[in-house]
Amino acid sequence: MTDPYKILGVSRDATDIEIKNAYRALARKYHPDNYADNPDMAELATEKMKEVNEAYDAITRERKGGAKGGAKTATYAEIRTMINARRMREAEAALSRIPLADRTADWHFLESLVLMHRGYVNDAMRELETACEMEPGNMEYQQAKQMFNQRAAGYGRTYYGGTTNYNQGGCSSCDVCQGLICADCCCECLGGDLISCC
Amino acid sequence: MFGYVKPRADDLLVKEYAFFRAAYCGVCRAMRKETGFFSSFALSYDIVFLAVCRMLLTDRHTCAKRCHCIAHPCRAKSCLTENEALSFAARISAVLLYEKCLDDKKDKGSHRLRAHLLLPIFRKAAKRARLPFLSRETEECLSALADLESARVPSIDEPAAVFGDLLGLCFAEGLSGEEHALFYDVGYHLGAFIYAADAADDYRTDKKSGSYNPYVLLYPDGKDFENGIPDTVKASLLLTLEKLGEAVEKLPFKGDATLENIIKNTVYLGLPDRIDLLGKPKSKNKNQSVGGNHDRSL
Repeated sequence: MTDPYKILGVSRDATDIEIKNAYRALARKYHPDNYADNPDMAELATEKMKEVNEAYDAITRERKGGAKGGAKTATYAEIRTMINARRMREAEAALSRIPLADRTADWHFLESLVLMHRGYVNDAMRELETACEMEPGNMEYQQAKQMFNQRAAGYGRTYYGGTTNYNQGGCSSCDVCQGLICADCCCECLGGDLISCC
Repeated sequence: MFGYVKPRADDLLVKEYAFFRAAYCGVCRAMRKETGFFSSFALSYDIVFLAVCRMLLTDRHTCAKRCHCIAHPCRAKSCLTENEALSFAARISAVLLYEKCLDDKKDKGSHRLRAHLLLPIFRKAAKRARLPFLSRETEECLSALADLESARVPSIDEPAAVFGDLLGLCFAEGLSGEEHALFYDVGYHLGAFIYAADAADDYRTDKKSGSYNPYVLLYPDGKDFENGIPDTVKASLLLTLEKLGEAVEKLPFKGDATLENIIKNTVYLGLPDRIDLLGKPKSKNKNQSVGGNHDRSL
């Protein structure tokens, strides 16, 4: 069978959304409504559509299967290594296999990292909060939470309208005088003079 | 839809604000012309934002004309002359309205009767919009959303992603290739934010009525939501916006400062302002967002 990714015209590492949108574009192109007045073309389009549908199903099946594959449970240390190596799909699957009763603060922390990577920010923050509540003394969790809070507080700061202080990093006239006087002092110390009147 | 997506007027230049107002009237006019008089009641800031974004792709018509309308019979308002983006936004709005109405009809909620009454009008409007594929895809998204809601998934981002998908399709409708990807991303992250923000806003009413709300499932203790929304929720909504900001930065502004500023002002200032109002009592809410300090009339 031909490569389903080729049929949809996407690369192997395309995101799920990219694949869905590629599928939608093709589904629009080969929709029978487009060929209502041309039966030959309609037949061709139906055939093509079947191929596209099969390819899309194959890809979704493959991706879902990959997440479920392997039945043995991994330890938290192993999952941590997966996350550090950016093997997120694997880490996610391993986390979901850990039974509800065994889910420690570490589980919630790792889950939040995985969710954050997937772009599920709100859920990730909730998991992080749970981890912090379960183990308030853990510095790693606290630091992660603080980092995200700081990032959130910084949102929009680079946009000019958001900055209330327009004088940041600039050099005021006062700074210029101060600099000159300072330079004058230095020159005098070395025997020269920059500003002769003082 | 929700009316969340609005610039902070205080930080717009006067000409930008005037342009935004004219675009608002322009969309309303386009709605009446494209999809019928009644569909113009669905006018919201969200749809105007869509029109402003899509104006990046059309040759801009700066000329505004003065015109009267039923909402302002005495004073003529300036109104953008017709362009592709305005009529596009109007057509999208009609499709969304019809699909929303269909969805309400299936619900057992209080909107059911209203949905039954309005359905024929909206059906006609959606037909005039001539977007059959988008209608189909919207329907799919809404039914996927309904499935998640009836399964009561304890996740904010899963339903938010479906809603984002829906809005992404609206933003990218009719485009292809790279443009499709850029506009889809903006719509996607905006939709995800709107879903999450709206759910957080409805926390107390949904807790009382028992209808599905992921925040109620994730924060069963109602104390956090007593005075507005908790800080962690605020932070996570801001992080959702961060993604939207990244998507907006990639839009093809091509040196059009007015459009760029309206869009960025909305995303970087208007939406964070909205977060601060979430979960607060409605009357106060209304004062601040419509007639209050962040608005001015020209």
